[in-house]
Amino acid sequence: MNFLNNKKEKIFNFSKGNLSTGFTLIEVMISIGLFTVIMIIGITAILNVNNTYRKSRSMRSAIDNLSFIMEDMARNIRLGSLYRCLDDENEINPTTIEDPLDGVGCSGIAFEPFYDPISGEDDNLAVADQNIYLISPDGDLFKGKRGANFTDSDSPGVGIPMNSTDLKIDYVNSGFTIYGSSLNTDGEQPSVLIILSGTVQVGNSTSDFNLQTTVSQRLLDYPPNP
Amino acid sequence: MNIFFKTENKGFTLVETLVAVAIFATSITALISITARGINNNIFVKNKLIASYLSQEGVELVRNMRDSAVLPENSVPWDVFLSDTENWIGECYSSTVQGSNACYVDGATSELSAFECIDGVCPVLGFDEQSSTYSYSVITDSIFTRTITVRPIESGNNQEVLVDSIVEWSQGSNTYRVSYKYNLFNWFDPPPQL
Repeated sequence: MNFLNNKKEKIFNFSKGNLSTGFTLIEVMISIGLFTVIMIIGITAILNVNNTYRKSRSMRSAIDNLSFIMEDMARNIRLGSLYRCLDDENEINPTTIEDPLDGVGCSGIAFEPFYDPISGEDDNLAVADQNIYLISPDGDLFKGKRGANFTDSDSPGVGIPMNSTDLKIDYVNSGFTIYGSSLNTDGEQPSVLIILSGTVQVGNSTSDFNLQTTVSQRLLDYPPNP
Repeated sequence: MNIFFKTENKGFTLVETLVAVAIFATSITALISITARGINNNIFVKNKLIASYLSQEGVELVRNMRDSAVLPENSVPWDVFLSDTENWIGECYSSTVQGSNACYVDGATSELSAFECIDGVCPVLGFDEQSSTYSYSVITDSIFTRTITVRPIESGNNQEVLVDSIVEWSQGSNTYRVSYKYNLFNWFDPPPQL
């Protein structure tokens, strides 16, 4: 008891002894200075991580979007037939769209879909149901059925842009190169070389991408189509 | 008696300061290295996406050659398709399961043909900035190498072959690879004639 009392006295007796003297001004300034420096370094690091995280998140979603576009095109074109090169939107409506046509670096492609679950038709002669992928000069990639106002953004037409707003497709370099599209005469199974090039906008910076793949038509170019 | 207050006005020792600074530095370093890793992973994901489509292109090209071969304009028998090194995939095909023949095929040409990879080492795919095309006719190298092999599923039976398209690239000190596999059959035997 006596010992405890002594201790208490020593700690809490502020009226005498060294414990009651407090810090000097210099000590307080140095400690506050150190604290500030350390906090600035720490907070900058945390903010940086947060920034990088946001950047990498938007990068990731853009890459997912890109992957989706490429996969969608590859799968649908593979199962389609009668590939036709399109240079611009004006070539969508003439009936020549039903004829296959080779081309290098076409900004769009029209093709007969493999199977249309809405109309139940899957024959090559069903007109006006061509599937279309088209890259607009503004850098958007449209997908849709053949129809009026395909890429019109004011009065939404048939085409729907597949790319998110932070993803821009390069109009000049991207495109479709179609080989061996003609029917039964060239001894060449139709194939399409797809090139997707462009930029991803991430915050204030941009990142380029260049994707390429080839798809080979699954429907054999034989026997003769009617 | 009282370990907290037995010495009154000593301040920190050098060792204590060092330990404190070390702990602080470690935590900041960990934070920064995680950030750097995140950026690196992003580059990796982008490269992997490119590589997987280039790899898919490899199997599609071989399939396209097979389909062209059975068209009546060519009417190439299966055995000839597998062994012809001039027009078809003879350079890619090994007749045994362990075979090491490998080839490369350029996707950006209208006439597909397979070329031999000497000792299994294929050339690096070129990349043309002007047209954004991966091709072998371009001088500038990309970071991707594509190796295509064709082997029977079981030795002594070539009716079903396994097409393997491997794309490799190095990033930092690591080498990564993406592989697509596709089985092809002797589809028409004999192939249709005109």
